[in-house]
Amino acid sequence: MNSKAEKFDVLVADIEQTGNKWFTKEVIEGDEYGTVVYHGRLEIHGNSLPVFIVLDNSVFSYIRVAITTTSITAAAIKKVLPKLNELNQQYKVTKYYVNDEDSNIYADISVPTTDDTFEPAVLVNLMLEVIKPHLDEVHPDLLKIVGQAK
Amino acid sequence: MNPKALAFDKFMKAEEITAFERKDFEDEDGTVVYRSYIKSPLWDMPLFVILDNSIYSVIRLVLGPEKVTAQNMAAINALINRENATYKNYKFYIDEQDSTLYLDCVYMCANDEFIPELMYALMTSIVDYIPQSVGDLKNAFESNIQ
Repeated sequence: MNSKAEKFDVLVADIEQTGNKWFTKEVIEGDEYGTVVYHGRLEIHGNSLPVFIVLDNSVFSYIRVAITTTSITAAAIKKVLPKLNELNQQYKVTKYYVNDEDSNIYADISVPTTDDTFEPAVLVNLMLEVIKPHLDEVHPDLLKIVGQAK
Repeated sequence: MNPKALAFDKFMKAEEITAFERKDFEDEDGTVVYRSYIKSPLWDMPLFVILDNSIYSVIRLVLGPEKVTAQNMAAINALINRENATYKNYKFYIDEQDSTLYLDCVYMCANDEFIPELMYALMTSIVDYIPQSVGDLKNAFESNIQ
């Protein structure tokens, strides 16, 4: 556990009072950084994308969105890397990459903050007001490039 | 001028940091750019700190100035993807307009929550990253895979 997660818990409790069970909390046992992961979902054009909000004792808090949930092929990786590079250059907030272990595309949103200045609402607002509209715009094209468009 | 630049100036004065040359832009965002460079066995890498009235503060390192070619592009793309997956706070990308490899580190916060010490710590972590990555960078820049 860590002090940012304690603050985030308060926000999650507030959200849950409205009947919204948006986040599931996972405490990583025995982790030296006291890491806590909040699992959620973002609905993008009928796709339910897994979201992980990762908080620990370091200054590096981040949001991770799984852009694909089915591994993409080696040929698709080759095709999509130039597009990911273009997005990485164009948008300040998001960073796209293909994870070597599961061959899925992820977008990370890094939010460096100290314990004192950590504002949990900022993360949720960022997700709903910046990341969601951004993914609404770029996600269909990414799925098309990797051959996973519905 | 912008409040973050004021705070950053104050911090650098207190810490007696003189490595930066400052340039003010007369734009609507009150942009201030601080310029320095990191020495590396490959070449000197220009480093910029870009502060303005938006919630984004950017540290930008020019890792490979005009060093990306058709020959090394595949290796550099592979390196970029690996480093982007590894380092939480760094973002690597190629600007094809100037054939240059960049490393950005974005620090998001409101003007009144800007902590120059944190900004400087992020910058220091980039300075520390260079010696440990220079071998991989050299291999990628010198690669010739079609």
